[in-house]
Amino acid sequence: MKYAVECKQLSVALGGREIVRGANLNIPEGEYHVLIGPSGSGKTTFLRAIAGLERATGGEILLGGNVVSSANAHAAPEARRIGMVFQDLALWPQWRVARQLEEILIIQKMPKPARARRVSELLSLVKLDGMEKRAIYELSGGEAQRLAIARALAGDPRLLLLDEPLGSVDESLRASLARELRELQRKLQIAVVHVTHDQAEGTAVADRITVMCAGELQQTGGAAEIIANPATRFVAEFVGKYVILRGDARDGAIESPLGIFNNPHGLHGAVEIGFRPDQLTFGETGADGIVKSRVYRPGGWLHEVEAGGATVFVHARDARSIGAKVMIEILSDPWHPGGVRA
Amino acid sequence: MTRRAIYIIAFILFAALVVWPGIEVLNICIFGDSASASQPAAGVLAGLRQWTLLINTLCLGASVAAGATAVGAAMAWCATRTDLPMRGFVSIAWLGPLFLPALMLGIAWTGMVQIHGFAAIAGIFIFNYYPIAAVFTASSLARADRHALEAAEIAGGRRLARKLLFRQALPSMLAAACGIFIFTIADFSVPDYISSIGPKYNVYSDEVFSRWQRAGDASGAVATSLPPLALGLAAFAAASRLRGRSNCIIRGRFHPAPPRALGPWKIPAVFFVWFVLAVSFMIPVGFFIYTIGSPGVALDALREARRDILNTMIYSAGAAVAALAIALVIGHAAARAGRKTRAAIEAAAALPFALPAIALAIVMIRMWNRGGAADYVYASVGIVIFIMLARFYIFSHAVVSAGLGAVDPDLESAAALAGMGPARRMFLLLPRIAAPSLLGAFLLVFVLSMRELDAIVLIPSGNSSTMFRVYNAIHFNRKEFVAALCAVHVFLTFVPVAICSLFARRGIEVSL
Repeated sequence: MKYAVECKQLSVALGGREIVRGANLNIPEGEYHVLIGPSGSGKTTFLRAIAGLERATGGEILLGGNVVSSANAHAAPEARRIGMVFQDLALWPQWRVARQLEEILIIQKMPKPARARRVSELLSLVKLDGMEKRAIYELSGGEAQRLAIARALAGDPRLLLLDEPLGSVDESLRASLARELRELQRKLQIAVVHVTHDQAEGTAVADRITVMCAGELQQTGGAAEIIANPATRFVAEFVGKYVILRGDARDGAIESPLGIFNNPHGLHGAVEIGFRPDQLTFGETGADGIVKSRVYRPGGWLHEVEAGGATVFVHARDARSIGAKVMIEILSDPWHPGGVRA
Repeated sequence: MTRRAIYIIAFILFAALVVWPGIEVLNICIFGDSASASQPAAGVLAGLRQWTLLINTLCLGASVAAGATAVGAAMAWCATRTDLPMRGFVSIAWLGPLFLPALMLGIAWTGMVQIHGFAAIAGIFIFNYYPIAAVFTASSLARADRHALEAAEIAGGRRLARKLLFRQALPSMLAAACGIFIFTIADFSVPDYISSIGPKYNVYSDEVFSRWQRAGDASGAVATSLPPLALGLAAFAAASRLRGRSNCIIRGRFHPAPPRALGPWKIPAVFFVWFVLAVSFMIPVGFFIYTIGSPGVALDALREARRDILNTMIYSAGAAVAALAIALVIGHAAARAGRKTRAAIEAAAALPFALPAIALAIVMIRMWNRGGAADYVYASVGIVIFIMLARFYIFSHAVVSAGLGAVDPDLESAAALAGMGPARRMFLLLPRIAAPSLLGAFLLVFVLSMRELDAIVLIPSGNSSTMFRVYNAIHFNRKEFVAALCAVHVFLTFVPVAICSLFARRGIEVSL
């Protein structure tokens, strides 16, 4: 398999502090890869190291099979053939829409007629036809976003890096822009690394996801796989939205506030088990609980329920009133991958 | 007091003290002077001599604007975008020449080396006015967004990043160049002084002065000032349009761009920066101190010019306070008004500044030397305050309106809802919120008034000032006295700024 990006034991330190530690990641050509993690987890630094904006302090980065960063090499950002969209877009307010793209083509010494054609093509690709003369401040949030993408594509990159690209647009626009991004990537067959802290945004567009926490890559895989089988407690909570409960493992079973479950790994003593909201529902039998709050989510209501001294989230089609007494039914076995010890 | 009453009083003062002199100039230029038999502007400007002088002035103005902008922009680049050693100090030290009037810089350098002619005049102006370009360019470069530069680097390397930075700083640089151009073409004292010690280089302001001095032809002198007024207004219009076009982020958070390593350019950059600081301020001040020789000479000079020094401080502070008081109300109106109203107020305020200072003084003499109650003003320091107010009000206005424009209007609405009246809001609430800008406006007008000679040289009560004493004494070859007075003048201009910088808890803001 040909890889667009290969990171081998990549480490990056800023101001003497190690932000990325020993990261290994291979992204095949044409893949839409999402790097997901909370704020401060090091994902932007990881992306900036791939772009060449930060120097790696250890390990290697290969782009298209060529080493661009290693112990004794550091290719300049402009030599890496990448495009990047910044979180706040970083459009150049000095220049109008067409000029934003034209300046890059001038640097590439493209002749004037070809330049005009290319600018027109790029604007058409991101649905900004006819906006060549607009000033940047005259663009709406979505238009500015599209222009940033066009600018990133202007240099004909082999890899597109998106640093929280939808962070500055409102929620209603975010979904449609995410869809457009995905369609664009399919059309261009270009590898994309998309950084986000939003689990919903990441799972919506990704071919594969990598979860990052405290400078370390925790798990890489398809969205469904990561949600069903999180590798760590952090991945379970951050991506799968699991609620972790304490349990007591004995020979054949684990006892928890929500009932007794199988103990397939033969754990002993205090353990932790997790439930996603969709694994729990209200029924006629099960653990007793009291509804503390509720919020509407597409497809039903998410209830915060106190049960047996613990707080869990239960997804149900119909809303229950706050303070109502309910019984929690479990639809599938809890998550306990080898058992996370309490 | 109602909001309307406050605005009406302020606009009457603004019209009478700032706009009227400008209108009077236009009146004389177009219709001539009923009090004398002089021709209107059309007749005065018909002579070939006028046009030769105008070309001389244009050459000087353009050369100084280009030179000072190049020096100032290079200084700003070194101090804001590179790892130049002591760059924090450099970006304060480059303000030094503002405390040293161009005439004094000329006196110092002609005292040390043989310089004369066009090159000397241009050089003195360049090294005196470059801080304007440095401050404008630095504030624009400091707003360079790190992500925008990184985006340029990814797309086109350092070449594109440099192009982006240059394009960002260009409007500020051009606005500064326009300002420097206006200052240069309005100045008569430096060309006059340099011409007095070597070959003559006549400029247009000289002609305005001569016409008044030789022939006592007030209206002819004022009418002669029409071409520089037109040039000044054109430069001001350009500067206004360019001002504020260097914003760098459209949305999102601003990330300051880190400085670049100078690498092998470090030594040449350090040499260049310290050369400019030395030539423009350190060596001239050092020369004055050396020339004074003993403290006794300085004390004698202080004793002799005590009244002049005090007078200078009084009219400079008076003009700064008066400009601030009017600018607080008019600047507030401009900040909350539409674009066209704002532009109209600025244009009206700029009119007296765009005039050659000599022409402004002549008009003020005609306005106030008319007997009756006006004579009390004419005979006192009041006339000098009014001249400085008219000439430099635009600076106070620009700084105050920029500061008040940044104040959220909801703060005023909240105060009004809480029961605060318009006068309290205007004179108690807003000054506290926009204190750094108000302080900046005060100091700017104070420093400019301290430097001014041309506008007061014709006014009897303005003759009791340090600038006039210096101008007078150089013609009598009193070197030690001149040096002592220059040193004292620089010190007294600097002290209020230093005190305010040290004790202003929220700093000083001079964003135009």
